[in-house]
Amino acid sequence: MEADMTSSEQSESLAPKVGVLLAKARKSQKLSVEDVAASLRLSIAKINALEADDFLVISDPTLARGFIRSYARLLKLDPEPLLIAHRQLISAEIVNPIGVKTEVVSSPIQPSNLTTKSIILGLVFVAIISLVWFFAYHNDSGSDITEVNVSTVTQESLPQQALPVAEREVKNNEQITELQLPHEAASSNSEPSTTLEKTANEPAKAEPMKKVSVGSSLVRVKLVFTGNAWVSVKDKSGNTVYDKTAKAGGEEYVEGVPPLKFHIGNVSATQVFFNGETVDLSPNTYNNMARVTLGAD
Amino acid sequence: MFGFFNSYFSNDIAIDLGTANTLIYVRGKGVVLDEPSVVAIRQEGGPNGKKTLLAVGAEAKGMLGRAPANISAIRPMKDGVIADFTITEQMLKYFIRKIHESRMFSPNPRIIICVPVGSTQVERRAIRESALGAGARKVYLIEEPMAAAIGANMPVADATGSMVVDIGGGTTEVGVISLGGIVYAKSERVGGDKFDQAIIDYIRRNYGMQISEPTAELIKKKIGSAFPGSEVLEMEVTGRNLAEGLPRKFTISSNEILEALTEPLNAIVGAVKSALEQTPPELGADIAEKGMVLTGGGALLHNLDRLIMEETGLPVLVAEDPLTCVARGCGRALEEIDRLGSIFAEE
Repeated sequence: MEADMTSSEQSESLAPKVGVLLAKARKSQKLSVEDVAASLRLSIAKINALEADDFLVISDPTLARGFIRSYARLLKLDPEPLLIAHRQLISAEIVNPIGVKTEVVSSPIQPSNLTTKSIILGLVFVAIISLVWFFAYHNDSGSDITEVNVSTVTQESLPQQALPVAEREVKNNEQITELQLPHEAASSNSEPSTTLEKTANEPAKAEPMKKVSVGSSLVRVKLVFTGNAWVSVKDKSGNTVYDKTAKAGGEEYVEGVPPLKFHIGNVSATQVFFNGETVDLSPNTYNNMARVTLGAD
Repeated sequence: MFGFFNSYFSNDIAIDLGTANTLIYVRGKGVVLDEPSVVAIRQEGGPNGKKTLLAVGAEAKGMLGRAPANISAIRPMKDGVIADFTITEQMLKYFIRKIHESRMFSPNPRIIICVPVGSTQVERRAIRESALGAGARKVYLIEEPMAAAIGANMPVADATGSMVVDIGGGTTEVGVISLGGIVYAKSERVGGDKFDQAIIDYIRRNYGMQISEPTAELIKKKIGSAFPGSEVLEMEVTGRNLAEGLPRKFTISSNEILEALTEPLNAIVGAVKSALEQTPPELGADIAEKGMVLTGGGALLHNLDRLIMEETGLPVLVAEDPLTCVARGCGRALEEIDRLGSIFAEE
C-alpha cells in the first residue's frame, strides 16, 4: 500500500515536470516558442501543448515521445528523465496494432452472410435434386412397365425355338395343310360377349386380350389342354390375339375377327372347339405342330 | 503432425540479418542476440585445404584487419544482401545454435527474416535458402521499412501515412506505410559502411594516411556529424602514412568528417526527397503533420535528423533504440504471426 502511494506520488510529482522542465530550459536559453517551432518544424500549438503537458493534442504517444526527445536535444537536455516522466504520465504503454482494423470489422459480417446464403442455396439445390429424382423415377418406372409388356409379347411370339424340345422331336406328319372350315356367321355365336376369364396361373397374360373389343363380328374358339402346349393366334388384320404356353388341364377361349390363324405347338395335348364342335387338327399336323385357320369365308 | 514437437523443441525467431549486425528476437523473450555479422575462417593446409569456422560475431569482428594470412575475417553480407551464401548459412546456423544452446535436439524454428525492399528475387531466394539451410522449418520474409515502422511503434495499420527512414549498415530504406501496407518504398545502397568508406577515402586523400575500417567506424561514432553544430569535436587517430609506410598519429575534427560524409548523406537526403515526391498528397499531408521517423544504426549519426529536417522542412524524429527497431518490428510480427499474412513479403 505504502509502496503504491509512493509510486503514485512520484508519478504526480514527475508528471508536470515534462512540460515545466522544457519551458524552463527554453527560457533559460532565451528562446521563444516560435524559435523552437521553427527549429523542430513543428506547429506552435504542439510546442505549447508539450510545455503544458497536454498530450491530447498529439494523439499518438509514440510521436509525443519523439517530439519530447527532439525538443530536449535542441535544448541540450538529457531526454531520458523526461521520457520516463512522460511514460508515468500516460500510465500505460500504448502499442499500435499492426493488423489492419478493417479486417476485424469485416470478418464477422462475411461468414454470417456466407452461412445464410449457403443454407438457402443448399435447400434450393436439395429441392431441385429431389424434384428431378421424383420425375425421373416415375418416368423410368412407366417405361419399365412398357418394356416388360413388350418383351413379354416378344418372348411369347417366338417361333419354333420356343417350343419344348420333346414336342419338336415328334415326326408324324410330313406336311402342313390349312384346314378351310365352312364359315358361320359371327352373329350366330350364341355365347354372350363377356370379359374374358383369367386363370389363376396367368393373370398378366390376359391383358392384351382385354384390348380386343368384343363385337358381333367376332368368333370364339375354345381351347382345352391336356398337356403343356404353346398356341399362337392371329386375327384377320394379323394382330396376335393369343400367344402363350398353356398349362395342362387348362381351358382357354380365344376371340378375334375371323379368319383366326392358329399355330398350335403340342397338337396331341390340345383340343380345339369351334362352334361347339371339335376341330380335327390331324390333317394339318406336322411334327406334332398344326397350322389351322378358323372362321374363314 | 510434428509441428507440436517442433514448436516445443524450437522457439520461433525473428532475424534482422543486417550488413553490420545480426539481431535475433526470440518469441516471448525479446532481442536475445546482437552480434556483428562477421565470420572468421581459418584455411588449413594451403589454398585448397579445409576451411574451419574459427569465430563468429563479436569475436570475429575483433580479428578484422588483425588476422594472419591463413585466417580471413569475412563480412558475408554486403549492401543488405548475401555476398557469400555458404558463410551466411554457417553464421546463421551458429547464431541459431547459440540461442538454443541448452537443447538436446537440433532446433528447427520458424523464422521471420527481413529483406531490403530493393532486393531482387534472386537475393531474396538466397536469404530464404540460407535460413532453410541453417535449419529453419519455415521462412517468412518481411520488408525492412515495414519491420522498422512496426518496431518504432508507428500506427502502420491506420489509414494515415507514416514515413520511416531506416539507415542500416548497407542500405537506407525509405518507406511510406498506410493501412498495413507499403505505399511507396525506395532502397538506396548507402549506409553505415558507405560512411566508413567515405571517411577512409577522405583521410587518405587529405592526410595521405591509411586507416582501417574499425577505426573509421570509431571516428564516425565519436565525432561524426551530419549537420554543422555549434561546437567542433576533435579526435586523435592512428593510421599508416602512405608515403613513409609507418604508423602515425594525427587529429581530425568533426567538421572534416562532415565534409567527408557529404556524398553518402546527399544520397540519403535524395532518397528521402524522392520518396516524398512519389508519395500521394494525402499521405504527404499526414507525414508533414507527424514527421518521419529515423531508425537503424545510421540514425545515431549526430544531427542526421537535423540535416533531413533542414533539407525537407518536415519534422524528423529519431525512434527509441533505433538499432534494434527492425529486430523488434520483426519480433512483433513474430508474436502475431498466426493471424498476420499480408505484411509478409513474397519472393
